[in-house]
Amino acid sequence: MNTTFVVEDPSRARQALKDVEQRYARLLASVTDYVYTVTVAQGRAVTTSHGPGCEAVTGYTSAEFDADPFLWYRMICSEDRPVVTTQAERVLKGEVPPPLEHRIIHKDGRLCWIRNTPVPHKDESGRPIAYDGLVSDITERKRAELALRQSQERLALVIEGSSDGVWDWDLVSKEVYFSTRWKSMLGYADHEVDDHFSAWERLVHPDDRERAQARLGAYLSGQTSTYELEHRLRHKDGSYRWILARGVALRDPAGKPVRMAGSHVDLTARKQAEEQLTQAYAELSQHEAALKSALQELQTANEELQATQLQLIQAAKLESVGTLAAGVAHEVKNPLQTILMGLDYLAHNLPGGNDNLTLVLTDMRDAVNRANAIIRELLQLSGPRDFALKVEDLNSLVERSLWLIHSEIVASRITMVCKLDAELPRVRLDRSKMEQVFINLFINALQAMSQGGVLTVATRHGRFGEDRNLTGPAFAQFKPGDPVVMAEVQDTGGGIPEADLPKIFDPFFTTKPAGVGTGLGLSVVKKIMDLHGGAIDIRNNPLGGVLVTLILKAEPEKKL
Amino acid sequence: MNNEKKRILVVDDEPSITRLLKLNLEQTGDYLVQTENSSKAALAAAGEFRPDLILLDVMMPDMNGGELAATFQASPVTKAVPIVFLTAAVTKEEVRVRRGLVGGLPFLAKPVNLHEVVGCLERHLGIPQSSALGSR
Repeated sequence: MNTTFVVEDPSRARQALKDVEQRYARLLASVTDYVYTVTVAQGRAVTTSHGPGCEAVTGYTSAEFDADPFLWYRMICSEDRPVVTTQAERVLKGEVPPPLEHRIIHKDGRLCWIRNTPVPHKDESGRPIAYDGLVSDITERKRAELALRQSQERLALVIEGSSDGVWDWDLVSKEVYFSTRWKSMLGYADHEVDDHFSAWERLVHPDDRERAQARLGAYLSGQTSTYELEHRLRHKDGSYRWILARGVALRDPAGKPVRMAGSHVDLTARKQAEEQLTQAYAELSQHEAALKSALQELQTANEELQATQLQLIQAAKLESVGTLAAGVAHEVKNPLQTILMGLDYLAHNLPGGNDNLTLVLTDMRDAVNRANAIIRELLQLSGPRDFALKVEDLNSLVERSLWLIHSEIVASRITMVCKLDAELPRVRLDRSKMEQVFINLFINALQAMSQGGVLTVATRHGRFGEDRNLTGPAFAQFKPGDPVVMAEVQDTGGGIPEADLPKIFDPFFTTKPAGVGTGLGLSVVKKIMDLHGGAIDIRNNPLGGVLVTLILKAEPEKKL
Repeated sequence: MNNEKKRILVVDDEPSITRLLKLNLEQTGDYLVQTENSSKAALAAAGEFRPDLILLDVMMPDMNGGELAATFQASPVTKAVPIVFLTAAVTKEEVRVRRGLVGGLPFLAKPVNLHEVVGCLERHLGIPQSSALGSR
């Protein structure tokens, strides 16, 4: 009987075939292993057959291997051939060498890694008669291994290169990996720090614990998006180091952190530097402030120095004039004596009744007296001759001085205003010298008011420094708060030109017309005030006229 | 007025001063004046002239008036003779304040007029002060 297959639908049949081919191809593509078999006789390989999977792994078909017995050898990467050969020889001898991983060149030219596991078969006498080999494509695995190794090496390199500590915390098991550097940063050897979260907790400075836990908690719970913590950890030597911890967490799909890793940077040096900087800055600010104040003082001192210099120049002028004066005075007096005596003789011996003669003689005598007056004043400048200080009442001295020039005042048609302080403290002074001072000032005032006016004389007392006008180097002998007595002489004349005020005490400087006064008056007045340890101030009154202020130290009141 | 004129020795290194003092004093009729212009000459003259009073300048080149006065006072011939200093070295104020005595000795401060000189001489010669002199 014949069996015939009837193909009802040829196209369906062809499709079915195609499907099967495709399935096979896919299956083949997913094959990574295949088996080869080697028959052995007398310790030598006789035949080799490669299973169908060899095409997927090597690219070559079984038929190609069959056709070329040395194909498999040529396929091996040349550098690996020695070890492969060695393995084969060992198997042929009857040994069971371990699996060998080596490289082959795929038919398409790619370099692939295979794992060759030989399994020998022996006869009853133990002689090898064949062996099977399981060949596995481990290219992917090798690639992964390589990548991993590279990654690990890179990590190790990076960790080493950064000199930072590294930590890797398993939040589930609470175990932590602390790098060697992490531990050595704190002075510990590897074995001296447990690989546990609690190890870190124990090392945290008590003052930082709360903050550290809060910061960590906030990050892990998702409140903050980054983790950065500056905190102190205890070094093995007992001191604390400032550490900057940074890290990042790995979260599961639910968002829960399962792992966290990061770095530790030793900030101690930086913190110290910061502190030093802050300190240095504070010191610098202090120095700056001190410098500024010193500069201010220097400027003030400079101004005072310049003022004092001017004063010294003036004093020197007076001094030189004074020294000159003593010599000149003596030299001039003798000729004056001759003239005076001569005038006496002439007066006695010239014919009388001649009015002109009498006038001439009188004029000559007046001239001698005037010259003598100048000499006298010049001598005043040369030194404190018979200068005797006694405690006196200034008011009575002022009144007496006014009385002494009473006739001049009356003749001048000036109005006198007298405001004497009833509670004026007493002062130490040389009566005759001070009278000279007041008379001088009064005469000056009268001469300034040739058309009439008001002469105001006042005395008052107070503490030095209250009057802002009366400060400066000219008052150096007074300290703020010193009890002082002041006398003021105010006229309503034309005042002194501002340009002339600095020269007012210069010997022979005068603003009076020629022939009026000697020009020595104010120099002598100043000299007398200096001898009294007092001061004199002359300025124009904004309301007109000149205001002269004399200042003397008040005598301390005697308590009964 | 005394019949006998008082003998005055005037010592000053300025000839004009001594000359005029002599003229003025002798003109009054009361005095006989000898003038010297150096300390040495004065010492010699004092012994011969036997003055009743010595009018002495202080500032003199060879020996100052103070030393000369001391020499006069040490000599038996002149130790009793009153000495009056006439000098530019003091001021009238100083003399007045000290009532005419400076360092215990009478002083006249230059420049003086005749009236002052005569008044001083009369005081120290023990003569009652006269107002016989007056300048015209």
